[in-house]
Amino acid sequence: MSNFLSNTNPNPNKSFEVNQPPTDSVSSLSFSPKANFLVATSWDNQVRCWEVAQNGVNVATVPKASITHDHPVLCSTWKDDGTTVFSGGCDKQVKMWPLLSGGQPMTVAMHDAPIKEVAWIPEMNLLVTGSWDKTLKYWDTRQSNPVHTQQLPERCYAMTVRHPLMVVGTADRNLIVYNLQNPQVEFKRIVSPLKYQTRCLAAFPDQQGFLVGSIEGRVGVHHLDDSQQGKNFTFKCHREGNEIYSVNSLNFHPVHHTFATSGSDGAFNFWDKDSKQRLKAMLRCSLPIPCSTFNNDGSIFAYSVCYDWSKGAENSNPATAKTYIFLHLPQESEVRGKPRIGATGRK
Amino acid sequence: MLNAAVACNVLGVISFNPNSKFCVLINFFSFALIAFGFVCVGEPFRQASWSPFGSQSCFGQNNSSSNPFALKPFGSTTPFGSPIDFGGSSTGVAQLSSPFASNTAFIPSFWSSSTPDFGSSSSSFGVIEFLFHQKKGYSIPELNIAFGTSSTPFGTSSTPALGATGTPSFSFGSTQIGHSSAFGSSSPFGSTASPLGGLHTPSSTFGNTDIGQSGFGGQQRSGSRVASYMGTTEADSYTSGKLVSIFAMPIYKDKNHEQLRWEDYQLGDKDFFIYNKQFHNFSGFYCCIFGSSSTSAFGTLSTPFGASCTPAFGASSTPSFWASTFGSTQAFSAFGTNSSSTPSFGQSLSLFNTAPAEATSSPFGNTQSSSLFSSAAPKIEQTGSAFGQFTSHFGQTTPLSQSSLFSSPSWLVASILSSIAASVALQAYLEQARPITTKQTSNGSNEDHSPQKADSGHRAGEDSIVYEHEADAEVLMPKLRRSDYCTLPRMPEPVAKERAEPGFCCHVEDFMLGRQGYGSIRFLGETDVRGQALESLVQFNTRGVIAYMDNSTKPPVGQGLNKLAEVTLLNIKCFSKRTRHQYLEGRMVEDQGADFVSYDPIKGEWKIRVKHFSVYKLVPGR
Repeated sequence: MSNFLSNTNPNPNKSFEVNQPPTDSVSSLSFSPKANFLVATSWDNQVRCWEVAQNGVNVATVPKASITHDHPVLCSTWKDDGTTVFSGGCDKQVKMWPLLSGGQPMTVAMHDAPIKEVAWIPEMNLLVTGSWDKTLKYWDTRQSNPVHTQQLPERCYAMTVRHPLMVVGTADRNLIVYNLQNPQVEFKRIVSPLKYQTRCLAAFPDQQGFLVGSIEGRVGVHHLDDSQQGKNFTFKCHREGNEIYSVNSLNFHPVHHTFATSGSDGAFNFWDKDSKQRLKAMLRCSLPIPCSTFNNDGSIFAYSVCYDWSKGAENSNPATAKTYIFLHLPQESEVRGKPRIGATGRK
Repeated sequence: MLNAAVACNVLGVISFNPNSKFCVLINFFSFALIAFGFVCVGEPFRQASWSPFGSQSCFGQNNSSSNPFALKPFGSTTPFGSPIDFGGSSTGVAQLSSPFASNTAFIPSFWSSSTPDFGSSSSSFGVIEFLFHQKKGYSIPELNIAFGTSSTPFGTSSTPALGATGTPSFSFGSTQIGHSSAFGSSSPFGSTASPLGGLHTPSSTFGNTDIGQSGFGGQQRSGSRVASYMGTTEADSYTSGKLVSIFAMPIYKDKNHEQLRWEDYQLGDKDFFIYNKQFHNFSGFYCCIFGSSSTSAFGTLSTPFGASCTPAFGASSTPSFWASTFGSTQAFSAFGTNSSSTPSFGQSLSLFNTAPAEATSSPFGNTQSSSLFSSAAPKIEQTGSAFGQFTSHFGQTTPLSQSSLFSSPSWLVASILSSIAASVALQAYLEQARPITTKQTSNGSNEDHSPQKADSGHRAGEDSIVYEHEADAEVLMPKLRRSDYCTLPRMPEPVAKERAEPGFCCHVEDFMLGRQGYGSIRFLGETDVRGQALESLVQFNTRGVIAYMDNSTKPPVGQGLNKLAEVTLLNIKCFSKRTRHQYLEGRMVEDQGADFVSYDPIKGEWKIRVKHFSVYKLVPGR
């Protein structure tokens, strides 16, 4: 915590601050696929929605609505038509919130333990949930029972879906790959290339592989095709001196297919996996970044700045804790890939 | 009949029968079983106050002479009464202390005080009394004659109360006893402190240290305060890197950020942030009490220590505390004369001042303080040679203080009690006191210690708040948080069974609740354990068990845990007052309303059967 204390600026990158942020840490951020509506889930049991109005180089955020769970909320996702939000958390249920129509939230999924991940699969018209009860469940929101329950070897810690590719990271460092055209069968089970706990996952936009981040300040790039194994690699990030921080979030840019990493050191960076380069290193905030996301066209990058429990409860001071959500407008040069120029390029 | 060595003192309403040789206190509000090793008789209460042991009294200056509590306790034990002052300052227990400062008669004041708190102090008699006897028996044998009672040392290990069912043994290991026989009393002290530690830190940490056994396999620690965050070195780095994540630590590697945070959330760790601050004050408070008492026992006060201690208290509590301390000093002025001729002890005195001050600023479990105490013990040991009568006593201290910090406070307690014993011996020698007088002293010691237990009762109340916080989560499930308590069926089996077959918790057959090394209760027939915060309702202490201390929460007979049960207490041994030999056969207690089942003197196991937890009193048998 000494490094955080020496850095007291939560917004060194001069991003735009979201109005009326949550009163406790943010656990997930998600943008609507159709418009600039931002949803944040929080440890204060709330799910909040803002409308982001982009006016030239200025950004304004207007709080729109919020719902409450019985316990902290851990995850959220939008339906593909941009009308509905799904949120799940420690109350072991997922609520479907018809946000645009102003209806009341309804419980559509249940687990025996807190729900860590939720994703909407429009191609199947199903909701998939991953939980600490070591199961994945697929739900038709019109039925009260899951259409399928998939057993996992351990608690679900991370999940990513790009039809037909889905990857689930579990507590035992297993990475289980599913082909959603045959969801009852494990397509492949991989032990993480990283030596420490899996923290986050992101599937390639072309569904040829995925990224995996760990608490050890390292990201692995993994291709599914065995013939592409030579292109697999890992790289270090989110380190300061000899201190190694968790990689909390991995997000692909929707247009350029580069990706962003956010970590417990309070920094976020942009990378190009194809040329194996870091495109931009942003300045460190004074608090960790637990989660982040791009909007549907990649013009806005949202990230939260608050304590992520990476050092346990005794490093948390509720009396002085502060939670921020910032919006960064990435420059073209920050997110566009830089292909190397033959042999003359730097290595 | 008059030779019976066992008497029972159940605090409650004073029932003084002029025709009887015994003073019996009945508790209408809760069931408490306590066996003492001395006889409580009525005649000594008519004696004048015993002024040599201090001009101050916990119960006020002007109590009538017919008031049995008019006796002044040992002066040096006044600091033990300080918790009541502190509690009154910040937790609203002032009601308990203020009536005793008035000039009104004791009995009317009693009813205006906080009865449950006062009633809950019954077991503290056993706790402190046992400590006192332990010290007398061990360090100064002649005191047995002066007081007319024998000490009650721990025996060998007992048969496991639940051994037949395959549950781990609850008895003390004989090796453990052998090494720390003089400090077997550290367990009673641990039990007194547990309500505090249990809220802030999972009690398994202290339980393991105190009893010397590993926790139950089924019990799992939770929350992020099991161990403090420390950076983990990355093994495969060319230059050594440090992982800034608590989840790289082996103890947390099977959890992630959200899971650990959810555990802390459920423990109320965040919601009770303010309470945690108070806990640190308590830590300082205890250290300050012991340190200061040890200092004053030898005739001097240390200003630097006082200065370092003051910040640990609120302003309102400091004056009361120091007033008590000065009272202690006055009580030991005679002994102070001797200390001036021993400069070597003065040297170690400064060490005393330093170590507690360090502990004041550190929470329990700080390894730095632990090593500091370890270095303190040898120093004292050397100084002990200047006081021949203390040599073996201090020698015994060393192994215990080296094992863990938590043992150190009990070492300080032992030091205080040793000073008390020495002072008593000196006083008896100087004044040629009659045995009848020393009996008053024993009883005064009991009375003085009762406020400390009231504090424990309050902590138990705090415990229930935590449970209420998560009442909506699994309201039907029985709750068991402390790892040294256990049940059959073992937790969390009832929870799983309730899910598998709803209604299971309404009728658990032969439900058992016990505590390692203390005893157990078997509830005969079918028991409804839904929603029971088990270790808040039933508390095992040395030589006693209390159920439903708070009368308002006690259900009617036959409901909840207020039903037919068999109580087993461990480490019970009784001695004849006349012959000083241990009873080896026959029954020595006759319980009204409770059926005597068996007593095994070799194992120290004592069983009774009760129809419900209600009004009971134990009278001496033949």
